[in-house]
Amino acid sequence: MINRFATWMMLAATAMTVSSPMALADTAKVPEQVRIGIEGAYPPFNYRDAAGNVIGFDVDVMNAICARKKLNCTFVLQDWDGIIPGLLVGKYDVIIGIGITEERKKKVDFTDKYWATASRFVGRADKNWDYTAEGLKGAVIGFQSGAYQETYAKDKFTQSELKGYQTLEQAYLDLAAGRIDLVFAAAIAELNFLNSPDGKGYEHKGPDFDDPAYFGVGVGMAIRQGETGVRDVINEGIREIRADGEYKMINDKYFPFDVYGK
Amino acid sequence: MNFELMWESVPALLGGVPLTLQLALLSVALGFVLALFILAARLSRFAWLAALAKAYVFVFRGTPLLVQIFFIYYGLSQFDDVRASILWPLLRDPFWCSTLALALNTAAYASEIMRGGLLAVPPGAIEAAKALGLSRLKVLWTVTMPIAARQAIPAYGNELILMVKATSLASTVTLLEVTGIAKQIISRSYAVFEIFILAGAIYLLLNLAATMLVALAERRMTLPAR
Repeated sequence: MINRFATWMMLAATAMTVSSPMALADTAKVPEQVRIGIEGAYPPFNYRDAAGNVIGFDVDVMNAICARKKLNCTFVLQDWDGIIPGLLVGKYDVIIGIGITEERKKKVDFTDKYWATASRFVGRADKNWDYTAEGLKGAVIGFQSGAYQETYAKDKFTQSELKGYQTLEQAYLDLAAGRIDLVFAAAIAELNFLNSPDGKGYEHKGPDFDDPAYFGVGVGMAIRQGETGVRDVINEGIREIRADGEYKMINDKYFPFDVYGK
Repeated sequence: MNFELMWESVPALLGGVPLTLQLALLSVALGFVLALFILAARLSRFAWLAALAKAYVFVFRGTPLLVQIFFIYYGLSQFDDVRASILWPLLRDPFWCSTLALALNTAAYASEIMRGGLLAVPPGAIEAAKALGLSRLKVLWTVTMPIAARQAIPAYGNELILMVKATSLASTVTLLEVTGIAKQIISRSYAVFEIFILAGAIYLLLNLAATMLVALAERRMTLPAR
């Protein structure tokens, strides 16, 4: 009986250590396998081709950094609303393409940014609003659940009807269907929709929204808190591809201007 | 485990219960009525009508409910004709789209459950009733239906429980029922474990009530042992 109890206690103790591996791992060390969590539904930054492979600007940037820093990188797909929880429980080691905000810094650490954009509305070309809390009274605004536009909209557009979507694509579908009046997202990401045949008749609306308290200082990669090893290597990688023109090569494949920002 | 966050999130999650219940009750009620029509068609003398009912059941049982919801919500709305139709005020609304999908789906299952109940009625009982000179309607009402219902209730209780859980899929079309609210809280707090435990507990309680109702119905329908 006593023996059995002791065994059980041992098992419980082991289970507890297993459940918090972060405390034991050497956080300054770069793991041999770096798993990159990616949404795969955010064109042109990351999306899937017909064969299901994840491609896009983010993938090219990450691959360039991994090749240069001799990291063995693999991509792991994850829906956006679970992207931070997935990192925290160790499904992957890095999130690519995530806005660097104070709110998120409470849970994760960030690399330097590798692109930046303001957020803007997209709406019908023939319909205009006054883009303030008052002016947007009665408007139905769509955004991606878990994105920082959601936090901003909830705090600022208090008189509008707000709708969160799993992906931006779904928000555009509802915009086309007339269920919502405006989509609120990163301006560069919206270009992909506006330049597509479906985007005909729609345009960017209103001002740039870039309050750093909500929209952060740009888009970077997130890692678990304290894992400085991976972060430093990726930061070196970002600096190096910026310096020697590889970033520009990738940038020009997707955008007619430099998305790195100021 | 962040117990403080769990405690703070209870009122918000409970706020989703009315919508979850509306979705479940309305779609079950609509689905039940629709199931009667499908059943009638399935047992019809006209072969084409029976085939139609069979095809309906095949399609709605054979495709995922999530696909059906997306088809009705995102799919139909892409057609100008649908948006110009008199149905658009309903189809525009995620609540009615979800209710419609849930009702169409449960109708397929319910009609099969009812058919199973009918098939389980012993022919001898009907023969006996007829021999007593009861009218067709009277036989249906006092013999066939009570026996069939008694046979069908356990399986239908299963379906009710599945429907309560299926309402969680409405969160994928922007509805903020229990699961939708849970996802929203998680997107800000990242506390997946804590919040989904609470959401799961709410569904468990709802289904406890459903289970008790079904058990009550079962007791009511069972003849006392002699």
